[in-house]
Amino acid sequence: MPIDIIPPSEIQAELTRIWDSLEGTNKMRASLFNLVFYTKKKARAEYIKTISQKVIEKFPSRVIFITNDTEKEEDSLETGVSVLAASSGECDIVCDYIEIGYSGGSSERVPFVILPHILPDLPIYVIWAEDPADNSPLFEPLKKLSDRFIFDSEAVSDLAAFAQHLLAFKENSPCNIADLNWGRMESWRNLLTSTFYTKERLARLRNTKNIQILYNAEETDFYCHTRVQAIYLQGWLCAQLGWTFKSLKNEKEKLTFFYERDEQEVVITLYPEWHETLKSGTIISVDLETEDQEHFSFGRDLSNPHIVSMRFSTLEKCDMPLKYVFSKDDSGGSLVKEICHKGTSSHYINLLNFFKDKPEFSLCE
Amino acid sequence: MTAHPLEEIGVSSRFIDPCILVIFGATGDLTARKLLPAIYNLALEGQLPSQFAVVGFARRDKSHDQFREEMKEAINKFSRNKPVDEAIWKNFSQQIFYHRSEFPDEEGYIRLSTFLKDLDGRFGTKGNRVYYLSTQPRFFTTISEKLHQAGLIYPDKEDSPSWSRLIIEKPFGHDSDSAIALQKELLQFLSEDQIFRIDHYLGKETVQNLLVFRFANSIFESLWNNRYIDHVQITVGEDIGIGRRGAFWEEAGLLRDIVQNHMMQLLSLVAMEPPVNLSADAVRDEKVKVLQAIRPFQEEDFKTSIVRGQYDSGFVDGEEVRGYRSEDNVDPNSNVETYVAMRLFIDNWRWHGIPFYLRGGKRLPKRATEIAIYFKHPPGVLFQEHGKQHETNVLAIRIQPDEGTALKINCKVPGPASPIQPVKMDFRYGSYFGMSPPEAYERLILDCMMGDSTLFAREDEVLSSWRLLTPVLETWKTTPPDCFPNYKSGTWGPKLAEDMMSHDGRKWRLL
Repeated sequence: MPIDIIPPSEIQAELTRIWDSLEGTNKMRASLFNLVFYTKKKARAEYIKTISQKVIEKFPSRVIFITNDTEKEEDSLETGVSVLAASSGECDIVCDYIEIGYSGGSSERVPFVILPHILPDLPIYVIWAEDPADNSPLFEPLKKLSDRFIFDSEAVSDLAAFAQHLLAFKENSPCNIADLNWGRMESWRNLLTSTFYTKERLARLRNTKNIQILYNAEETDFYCHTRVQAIYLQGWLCAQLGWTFKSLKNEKEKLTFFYERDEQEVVITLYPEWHETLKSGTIISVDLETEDQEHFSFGRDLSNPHIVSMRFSTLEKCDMPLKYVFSKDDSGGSLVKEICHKGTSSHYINLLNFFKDKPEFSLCE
Repeated sequence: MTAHPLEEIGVSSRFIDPCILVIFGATGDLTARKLLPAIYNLALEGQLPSQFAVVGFARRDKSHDQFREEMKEAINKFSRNKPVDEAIWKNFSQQIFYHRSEFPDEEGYIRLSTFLKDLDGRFGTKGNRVYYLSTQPRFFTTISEKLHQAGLIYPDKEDSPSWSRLIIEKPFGHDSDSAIALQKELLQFLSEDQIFRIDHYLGKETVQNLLVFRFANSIFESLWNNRYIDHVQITVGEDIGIGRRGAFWEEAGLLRDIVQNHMMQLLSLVAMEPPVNLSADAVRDEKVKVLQAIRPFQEEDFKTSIVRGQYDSGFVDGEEVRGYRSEDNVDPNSNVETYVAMRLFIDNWRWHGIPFYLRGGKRLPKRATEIAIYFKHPPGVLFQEHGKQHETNVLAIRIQPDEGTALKINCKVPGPASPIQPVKMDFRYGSYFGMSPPEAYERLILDCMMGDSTLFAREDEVLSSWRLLTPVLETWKTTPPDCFPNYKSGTWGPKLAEDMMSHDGRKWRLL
């Protein structure tokens, strides 16, 4: 439903009016956090809005949604308020929703519009759905406000530069950082960790020769950097296992990373596949081959993508496949995971450090 | 120990060893209503290890497929996630098996051993076992002994390649002597670290939140003592009767079924000192100290500090219901209690002189479990109306249903006069967190697989609680009540319980 445009000075009064009109209904106002979303592309704004809806269904929060209309040349600032239903039941849980749209030089006014509407005593989570390298005038003021700054590396084209930005951000700010793509591959990280949890399995992992990762390269209007999750997964493994990056070959659609461990070469290849039914960027399968020609194959069931089979085979034997269930990765699921994360993930920081001095990674997209 | 390079310390994901869960009494009510739905929910949410299998052990003859079908039906009926997700079920059902045997039959355990080894080969479960004894307590020792004889319980050593654990359901004995005897018997076959005594109350999110509430909020803990608190009320009320469990109730009664375990657990969590850390033993050490500090009942207390009751016919939710003595499989002259209220004192520095009032009952007006902390009146020099003190602050922690916390504070009514009105600040769990909390059994089964016994009762907790309550049972046995039934179904219990409170100048909280 379109929201009526009102002057910024009327935001509080309009919220009061809405809540007065809801008096006597079974609606209950709730806020666990202040959730501030920032995006600039129109197509992406719709996607981010669906994510914000998913988040408030888990964590009812006051949402402040900022959209920068980069196609508009003149200065403008439009605000509106509404309420979002978080859940229904005996009593419907409803959250405040404040929308701020601006263009041109009005960006300077935006922080002043936000500030009076932050709910005191509640954490402030900023979801920055754009490249932090864009030098948006909103970036610094929001950074100062927030307790956790959640980035979406999907919006980024140069991962090395992105890593440098985030590390500098972390260095200069007490605020925690997170990344939606890091959250999106959490199930894979857990699966690999549990599979290689024992000493004996870990030794096999350390003995890896080849890794092949298949990802869904199907793009949408709002999701086009489909390789990022696969790059993150291989980067995380290498960073945690202490493998040294040697080179990168980018041929057609295939991306091959060469690493070194104990003077042995490890080759990691990323292959695209196109599946309309899967989410863009989703990792479809991971295959590991060790020096002893043992194979660990993990693959999603394409008709039930949250179910993953794990097969282990050697030259002599082939184990029964094991099934692993990923939590159904609804839109917003990764954001919820990132919100719940305690502090900043140390593994994510390791990953950023791993990426920061590899300009080759900017070729990845 | 060096950290695993792929494991991020402090992150919520917990890694669980491959294992097989064997449920004894697999055709019983608990398996269908709670255990299999809990395991299914864990599978659905990807929390089980991929190398996992479930084996149902019972005496009825049935095939694996029949057992799977029955369990699917049960999940569809009782799971918080229903209907069954067919894609998940297709895989998960192939990890469910049935093993027919009588509990005392040695041969059955030898066959079980072979079968489990076969499953180890198929599922990579590495010999790790959780045995869930969802049976009558009289089988606990027999099953443990037979498992031990069949080599299915391994010595509890750190360097053992595989582990075995045993979960038992309450009651853990029916009095102090039998609890000691049971423990002695079990210890012939298992170590204390291998025994997981389940009290499903401890698996409830709101009960776990008690520790967070107390020790992660400085404002409450500083007031949590006899200087500021007047008294504490703990209520475990149920609107239902005993249903079809007449035979069980005739043996047990409410003191054994609810007070000795659930209520004592709630009491110890409310009253315990902060543990030195959150390890299983540190938390349970503090809980035990509370139980050990409870003042034992003296002879006169049986008249003044403990009330027992039994429900008569009446109305619950507008429906006429039978009295206890008219329930199926109940002696028409039964003296079994379906209600208990008591006043306890904890003789330690923090709680000296502060009464803890406990009440639990069947066929009360509603189902409600709550802990209410009544604070003392402020000095009465201000805001007294005609010498009348206004209401005290009450912090109510609702365990079920409508989980949450409410704080009653006094507030000035707007206007030129200054009448003071109590108002309520209310936090409701369900309203704030959109996600449905896991069932208690989900958490507890998972914890056992991980070897985390924090939320399970330790031997000394059980024994301390029995030590306190066994004299009550003995006294009741020798002095039958002369007033049973003494409360109508659909009321808050016998008048004697109200009298106990009014004698102290207090009253029970109306829930």
